[in-house]
Parts: sequence; C-alpha cells; structure tokens
Amino acid sequence: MRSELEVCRAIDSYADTVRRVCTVYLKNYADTEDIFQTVFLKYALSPVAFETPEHEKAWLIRVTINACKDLLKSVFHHRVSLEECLEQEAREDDRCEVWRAVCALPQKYRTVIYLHYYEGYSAPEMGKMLKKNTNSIYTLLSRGRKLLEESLGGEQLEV
Amino acid sequence: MKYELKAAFDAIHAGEDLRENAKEFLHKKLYAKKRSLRRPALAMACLALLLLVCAGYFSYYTPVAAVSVDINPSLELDVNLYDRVIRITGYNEEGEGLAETLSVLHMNYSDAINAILESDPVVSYLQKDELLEVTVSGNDEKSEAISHCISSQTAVEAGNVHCCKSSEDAAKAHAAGFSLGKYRAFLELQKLDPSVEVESVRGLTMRQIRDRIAQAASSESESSQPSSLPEEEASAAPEDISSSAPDPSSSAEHCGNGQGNGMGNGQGNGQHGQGHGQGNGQGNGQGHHGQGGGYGGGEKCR
Repeated sequence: MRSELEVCRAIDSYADTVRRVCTVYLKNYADTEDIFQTVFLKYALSPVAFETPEHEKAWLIRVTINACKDLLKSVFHHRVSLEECLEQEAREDDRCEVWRAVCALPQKYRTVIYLHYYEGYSAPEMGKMLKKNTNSIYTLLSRGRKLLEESLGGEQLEV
Repeated sequence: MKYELKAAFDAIHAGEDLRENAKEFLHKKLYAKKRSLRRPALAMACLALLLLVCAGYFSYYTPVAAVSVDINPSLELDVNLYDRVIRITGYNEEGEGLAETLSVLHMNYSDAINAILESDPVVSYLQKDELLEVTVSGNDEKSEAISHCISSQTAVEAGNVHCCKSSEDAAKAHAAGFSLGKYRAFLELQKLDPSVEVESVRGLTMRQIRDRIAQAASSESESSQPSSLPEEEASAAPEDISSSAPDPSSSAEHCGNGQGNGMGNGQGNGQHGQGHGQGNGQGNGQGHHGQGGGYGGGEKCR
C-alpha cells in the first residue's frame, strides 16, 4: 500500500486529468466524486511501480476509463440523458462552441478526440490503452473529427 | 480549432472540494487509526478465553490429593480436583519400573487403582502373598472421600486403605525418598522400636514391615504385661493410623506363625459419620494371613 503522502501527491498532480476523463464519460458531478474515490483508492492499494510520470498518468487514465465504464454498466447507476448533461454543462459554464460540439459527440468519439487532441496520445498508444485495434482507433478518430468539423460548420481540425 | 479544443478541456479542473473529499475519504479508509469497538471487544474476548484456558489448565494440573500404593514397589498417584490422576511417581526402583509400564494418567483414581491391581507385576506380587496398602493424603474432605471410594470401588481391602490428613508427613516422606504409605509404616515401626533407622526399611516390603511391627508390638506387650494378653489384642492397629477399619490381617498373620490358623476380630469406627465395621480373620493353610472386611459408610463416591 502506498503512503498517504504519495497518494496526496498523486491527487494533486492528476486530479485534473481524472476529472477530464470523468467529464468525457460521465458529465455528472456526483458520479465524478465516486470515480475520484475509486480511482485513488485503487492507486493507493496498487502494487504497480511506475517507471515514469507518463506511465503513472497513463495508468490513471486507464483505471479512470475502466471505473467510468463500470459505473455506467452498473444496474444501480442513475442514467442521465445526454441532453441533461449538456444542459448541466451549459449551466456550469458558458464554454465555447467547440466544447458543446465535443459534448454532442457520441462517447466513443469523445474519448479518442480527448486522448488525441488534448493528452497527445498516438493511435497505437490509444489502442493499447483502450484495448482496441490501432486501425479502429484511426477510424474512430477520423469519424469523430468529421462529426466535429460538421457541427462546427466545416472548420478544419488538424490531424 | 485544435487550440480551442485544448482550451476547452483546459478549462476543466478538479475543484478543491473534489480533491479534499478524495483525500479525506482515503485518509479515513486507509490511514486513520480505526477506533472501532470491535477491537477492544475482540481483545477482551480473547483475554477471557485465555484466562479460562489457563484457569482450566491450572485447576486440572493442580494436585489436591495423593494416593500412595505400596507393596514393595511404591507408587504415588497425584489426583486433581476432578478425581483424575495427573501424575504417577515411583519411589523405588520397582516403583519406577511399574510406573513406566502403567498408563493410568487422566483416569479416574479408582479406575487407576484397579488398573494397577490388574497389572501383571502387581498380580505376581500379590500371588507371592505380598501386602498391598493404599494411603490417601490431601485435604480432609477430599482424602476421606477418596479413601472411602477406593475401599468400596476397588479390590483393595478396606483395612488396607488409610487416610492421612497431615501434609507434614507427606513432605517428610518425600524428603526421605519414601512414598507416604511406606513412611507411615516406618513411623509406626519406629514408635514401637526406636532403634529402627530409615535406611533399614527402605528395601523392605510392606509385608515385612508389617511383620516387624507385629513382632515389635508383641514383644512390647509381652515386656509390659508378662501375664500375657491375647495376641490378637496386642496387635491392634497403632494409634496414628486412622484407617477406615481395623487391619484384621495383622491379627491373623501372626497367629499363623505359631499355630497355623488364627482368628481375628476387630471393631473400628468408620471415618465417615456413623459407619462402623467389623473385621474378622481366618488363617489359611499356612496360617499366614486372614481377611478382614468392614468400613464406615457415609459419603457417596463420585
């Protein structure tokens, strides 16, 4: 088990990343809080020795994605419609049009768009992380990009 | 647009409350010392169990009485509160040998005595006409109850079961390397014949000691009353034996020396309440010893 100091450092360093992944998947604050606790509890109890901060970050993203999927699959999870999410997000802050377009994307595209354009992961890296074929990732990425461009009125998104 | 996208994601931050909640949750879950009531309760239960086990162990392995069995092999059985034999000690070479062959530990004392009586070495001793005496020592009630039970539930003749309430005698006997029964017989002999030394009786059998007691008693009575008392009376049990009945064998056996047959009778107060007993003896063919019976009634055996 990791020390409390180490866990606090990880929370301080990766809280934003975990929150963003949660936002991509859940967009619900109560669920985000649950996921936060689950992810950092797993981190505290995990015996994995991280070689680099990148390794540590990738591990946390992977664990957060799994936790979100588990929560969404859970029978007891209260399902919130996409419209509700969007409304909630819109209420939370009045972010730019791009963000709204991202929120409107199906979840599978949102994930790859986030991992690629924000976290900077390549398709093979994402394939490893999401346990998917690299070509599938390319497909998801190109379709997601296309949808996003369409919703933003043909504005080009760099590859 | 890429930068706008990045900026949109950049705008998402984990609030301070989210971080603090997660830290607090983990602190409580993993790092805070739990002060639940379960632990002290469990510790108390363990302690109580430990005490119970210790108390049981000590009460079981604390002897409250000792039963000395003497022929020539001298044995002593330590009996606990629950009437179980917890130790068997041999007080001479034969006794040690016999103690090794017997497996009477944790048996009820009367079963243990019966097992001893049925063991081959003891049977062969008794066939050689040796005398078996049982002496019980311990606190008043326990030793009386044990001697009564041995008299009634085992094949030991009631007259050969003695009860000794003096712990001093037991300590002296053990210091001298004797079992209590043999030491008491020695004391009886020494009372009649002060010249007798401890070492001179060490190798003697109980039969031989009793014979010498009888001889000493008869010679003493002859010297004090030359007009002659009947031999049977002269050989009455010495004062310090609180046997549950008189020992008729003694009266019979010395009659046998001269005449080949003998009659003995005796009367004794039972040690438990109002019991009384009568013993009579009849010499056998060689006039060696008689048999007696009679013991006091009173307490019930367990």
